[in-house]
Amino acid sequence: MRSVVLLSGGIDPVSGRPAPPAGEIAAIGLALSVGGAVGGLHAGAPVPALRQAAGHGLEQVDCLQGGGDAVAVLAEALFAAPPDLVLAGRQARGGEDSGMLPYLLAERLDWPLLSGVVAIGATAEGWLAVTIGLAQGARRPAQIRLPCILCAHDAAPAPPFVFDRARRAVLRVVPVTGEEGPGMVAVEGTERPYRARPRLIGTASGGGGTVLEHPDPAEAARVLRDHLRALGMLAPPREGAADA
Amino acid sequence: MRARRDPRAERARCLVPGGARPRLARAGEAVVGAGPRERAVISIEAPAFWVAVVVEAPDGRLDRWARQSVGAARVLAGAEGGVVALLAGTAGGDALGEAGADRVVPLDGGIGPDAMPEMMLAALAPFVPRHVVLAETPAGGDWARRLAARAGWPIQTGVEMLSARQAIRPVGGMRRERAAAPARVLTLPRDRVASHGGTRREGRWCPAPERPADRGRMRVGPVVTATAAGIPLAEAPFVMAAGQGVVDFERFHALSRLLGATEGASRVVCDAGLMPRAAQVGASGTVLDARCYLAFGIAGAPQHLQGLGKVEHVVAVNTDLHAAIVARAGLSIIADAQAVMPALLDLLREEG
Ligand SMILES: Cc1cc2nc3c(=O)[nH]c(=O)nc-3n(C[C@H](O)[C@H](O)[C@H](O)COP(=O)(O)OP(=O)(O)OC[C@H]3O[C@@H](n4cnc5c(N)ncnc54)[C@H](O)[C@@H]3O)c2cc1C
Ligand SMILES: Nc1ncnc2c1ncn2[C@@H]1O[C@H](COP(=O)(O)O)[C@@H](O)[C@H]1O
Repeated sequence: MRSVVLLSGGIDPVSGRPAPPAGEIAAIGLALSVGGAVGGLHAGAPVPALRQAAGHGLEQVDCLQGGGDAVAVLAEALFAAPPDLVLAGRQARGGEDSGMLPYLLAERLDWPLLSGVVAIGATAEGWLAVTIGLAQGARRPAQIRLPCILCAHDAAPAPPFVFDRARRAVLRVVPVTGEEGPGMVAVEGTERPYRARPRLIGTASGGGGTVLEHPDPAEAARVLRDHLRALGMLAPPREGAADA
Repeated sequence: MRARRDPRAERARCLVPGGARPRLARAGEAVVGAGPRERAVISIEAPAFWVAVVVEAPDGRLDRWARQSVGAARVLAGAEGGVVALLAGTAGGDALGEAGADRVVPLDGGIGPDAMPEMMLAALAPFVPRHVVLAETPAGGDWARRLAARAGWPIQTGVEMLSARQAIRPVGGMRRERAAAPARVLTLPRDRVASHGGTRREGRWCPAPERPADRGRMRVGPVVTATAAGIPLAEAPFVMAAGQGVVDFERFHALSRLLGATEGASRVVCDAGLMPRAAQVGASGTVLDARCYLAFGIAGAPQHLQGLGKVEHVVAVNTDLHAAIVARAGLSIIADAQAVMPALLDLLREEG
């Protein structure tokens, strides 16, 4: 099994210094859990964040330099030497950050894609078993045909950073000539420094709170039960249960 | 708990001044059926354009995020556009109309992610929507990107501010932002756009699109929900927490098991070793992403409330009417936790 991890470079949102996004480190972890050869692939010039990412378990990162559109460049490289498995992060950090690249790549290669992958299981007859992480701890098993693209869940286990591995990692520059394609459909607009806006504050159950003062315990229990049920936190009563 | 309605004033607002004729909007929409006991509903026949929204309702309820996505579609539709909701899950047209949808197209729930873009495109085809809004949930975010990639539509993900004319989203590692005209596809994080607060819309049911052929490239199994005790606190949908006001921990644990709630605690309780440190909710503990937080004997110190940032519904049981948590709670029971817990246990056990 040969896996390729797509690395975007990236910066740390707080300090602005080079750092790989959490999802890409998780992707390296998933690739390592499969075993076999694992390499990094980056469309663009070798940047320091790639070496940091490699410190989490990659010996070599190929940097495709000189091309135009990242999707076209990556698709061509993957088409020329198809791996069994391509892993990506959920979202880059430092560019467009839309999380579209893996999807556009899958569309172009006509490979299947699954996102939110927290674990990879066994392969059998060209199918790979994976576990998808959903909101609030829920999980969903899935199988996908190889070759495929998997986007790692940010919370998938991250392999530790080893400084010496980062130091010794090879960032190999591969010159490519850009092919123009549809690729990313860029959105025009005006760019400026980020301004944090407060989120809307959730008013619990729409409006001011209800206060029940000194009820007797049975009354309190009934009100609590009905409220939790109305919120959908409690299964509906069984047939024939007492008052509603 | 909802603000009291004034049906007479609502009806009056729907009539042309001084007359008994319903107000007609520019797009030919009429406010109909506002009899004294009925609620006003806006129904719209042929709007100038459509805005679509994909709504997830896996358990038959529209949560706040889903309502906010419909609200965002309404913002983009303005006065002249109509909103069509593609419903993934089960929910009534009533609930969707209330949330602001003019039409509802049900999507086949059993369909896998691979066939989802085809299905959405089939559902959208009769409407040719100007925009498609999706919540940036695990599933919604995935569908949005599949749709944009398949159709070759421009997309803006994680839009933090939205008006009919522009959408603003962070770029460059959250250090910069870009303001641009709203794109064809938009995804919406939680709590960025208010849900629809205006008059109810019709939510008229439309036929479901044909189910596209499966490409046989992936098989997706059923969703396995985590057991309450097994969910990491930060991901838990329902958290029941103990503060200094709880002394009967045996009953507390029994109740959390029966309710299927994940356990949390205030710092003082963790400091005392009555609950594990991992259960601490707050600034120096875990920040919750729960839908419901049930607090027994918790005062609601600022450091504790910081952990409730994203919680939708807070329920408090406290002996002190003036505790800060009471101000944050949708329902507060002013009573002794040691008396309420056993009563609730008995009631739930009685139900079986
Ligand atoms: C730097 C810093 C960081 C902190 N971080 C955190 C944090 O992350 N999380 C956190 O929780 N705290 C944190 N704290 C502590 C916080 O300020 C409060 O001290 C703590 O949250 C109070 O916990 P409590 O509500 O359980 O206890 P109390 O403040 O003692 O409140 C107990 C409440 O229970 C009620 N009560 C009493 N008896 C009963 C009864 N029989 N039935 C029902 N109700 C009853 C009382 O009316 C009262 O409201 C932090 C403090 C500092 C200085
Ligand atoms: N230039 C790039 N080279 C290689 N992989 C990339 C590049 N840009 C993005 N990716 C991958 O695609 C994911 C999503 O990126 P994006 O669509 O840019 O948000 C990232 O986490 C990377 O795994």
